[in-house]
Amino acid sequence: MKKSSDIALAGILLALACGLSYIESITPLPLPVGAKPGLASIVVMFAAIRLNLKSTISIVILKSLFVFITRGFTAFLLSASGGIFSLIVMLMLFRIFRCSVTFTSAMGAVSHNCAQLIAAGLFYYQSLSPIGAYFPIMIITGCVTGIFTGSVLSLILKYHFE
Amino acid sequence: MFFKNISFCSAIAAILFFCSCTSDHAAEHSTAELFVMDTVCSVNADKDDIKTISSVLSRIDTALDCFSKSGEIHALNEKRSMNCSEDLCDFIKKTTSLSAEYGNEVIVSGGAVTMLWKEAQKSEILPEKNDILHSLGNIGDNFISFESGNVISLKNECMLDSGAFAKGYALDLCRDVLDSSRNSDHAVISMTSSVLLYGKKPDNSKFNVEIRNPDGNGIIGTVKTDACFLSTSGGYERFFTVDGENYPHIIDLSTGYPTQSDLTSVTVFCDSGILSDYLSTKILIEGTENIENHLESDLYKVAAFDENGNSYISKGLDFHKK
Amino acid sequence: MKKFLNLKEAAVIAIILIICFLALFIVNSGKNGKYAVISSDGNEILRLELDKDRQNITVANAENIVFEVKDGAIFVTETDCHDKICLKTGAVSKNGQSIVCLPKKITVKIIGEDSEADVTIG
Repeated sequence: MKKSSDIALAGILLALACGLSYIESITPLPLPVGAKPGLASIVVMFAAIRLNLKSTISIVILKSLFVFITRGFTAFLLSASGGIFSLIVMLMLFRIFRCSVTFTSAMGAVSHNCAQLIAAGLFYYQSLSPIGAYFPIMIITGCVTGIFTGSVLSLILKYHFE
Repeated sequence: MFFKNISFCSAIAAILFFCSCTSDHAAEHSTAELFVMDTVCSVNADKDDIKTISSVLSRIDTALDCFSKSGEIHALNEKRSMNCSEDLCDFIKKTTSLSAEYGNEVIVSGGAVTMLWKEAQKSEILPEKNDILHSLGNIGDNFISFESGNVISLKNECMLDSGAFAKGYALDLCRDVLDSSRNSDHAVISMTSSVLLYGKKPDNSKFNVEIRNPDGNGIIGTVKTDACFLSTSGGYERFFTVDGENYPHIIDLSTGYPTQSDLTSVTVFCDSGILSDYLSTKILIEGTENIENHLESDLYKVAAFDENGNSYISKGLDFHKK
Repeated sequence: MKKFLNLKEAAVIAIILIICFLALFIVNSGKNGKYAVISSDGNEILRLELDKDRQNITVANAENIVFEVKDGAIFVTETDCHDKICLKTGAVSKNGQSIVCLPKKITVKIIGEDSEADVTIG
């Protein structure tokens, strides 16, 4: 029995995630190999904490579809693979292992990057070897951006909701 | 709680790290070396396939051996008529049909002449001209007759020499083993002058073949290719010495003497082992005169080199000169 | 769960980072490559020697992506693809390093003197 405010919240979060995702895609940043700060992940994590599972999954899937419509297939592939896999990882860490927000976010970012690499490698090259060399740098970037987004979310949760 | 955490994350990290280092998934792949058909044979394939291939190669070695007492062809050459194995019957049928289709320059019934030169190599005495002329008259697949059952008879003084076909034929059988077992997703079987490249490599790249420089100095070039058979005739060990003179191993059956071809090395790539073996010898014997025709073929690809260092490469063969 | 980051989690992240830095270090202290092999859709199109400086290198099937070889390394100088990841990858020069352009399906791989032959014949 979803509260209507929850449905509204889900809608707002979806819009926010899409918006952030779009802004990130057009803002060039001095990060290696096109890595992004993953601001949309803050929204997804927030949804994972405050909303039920179905809503969160919907947000991730719908955001990927938004990306598909606005930025084409490659972006969709990356967004969907990264989004879904990192959501699974984050839910496991957060709910089952009871990890902190920052840590979950860091691992979420790492898994997001890795899933994207694997999806891109398999889809475009049918093999992992051309993109294999990118794993170490993407994992490091994931840790860094994940800690950043996790800290932001942590602060938001702390000061606005307690 | 802590350990759950740590082990989970370490597991992920380890998996990702190993993914980035290597993409071989050679589960049960292994390499074995056997000595068959007078050469070192290297088999790189799934472990179970190696066992099967080893026994197939041993069996064929016995059937096609022209020299040792236990060799079937040796026995047939001596006895002139005998009941032969399925392998030998099949082999002779395939070689005679190749010679009939593509030419008698390379023929299984050329043993009378080739044996003379093998003797010369051992005894260090050149064959007599009369002996050579006489043996020329004993070349011909028409001297081989199949009687009832698996009985084969050799007429006149015809002798069989499997040398120009044996390795290619053996590799065809190896390919059949690999096809039916479906254990190996890729394999490399090398019999020094004939090779089978099978399947697809784990990283999806093409096979990398190095061709030795016929003058003995390293590699003359490399070829990237998908799965196929390849055989080389000539090459840097193409001579034997008698009385200080160098003679090529390959005998020109039209003259009875070692070939005077201006080609020093011919490698043929195609989808049949026995054909690649046969053609590499034939193309080498024909020399540069006829090489252009061979370069145009759709059925096979050629990489040939002559005594002046020129190369003759089929269009569509991914060859890089070193 | 309310803590920012506890010690054990920090340790996990540290371990992961160490492993990755090690991996990067290993690759970067690798041998300097001899050839840059440019492939389109998995098929080799061009092989360049890294010891010869060259500018304005383009390949068929990949319009508008320009490479340059300088000081034993190869890098992308221009590309019209959206993400420009290939540009950002910078210069690669060691064996095993690569530059990848997904949308154009172009890969550049650095290989050494003897890219292991599967078999030697002749």
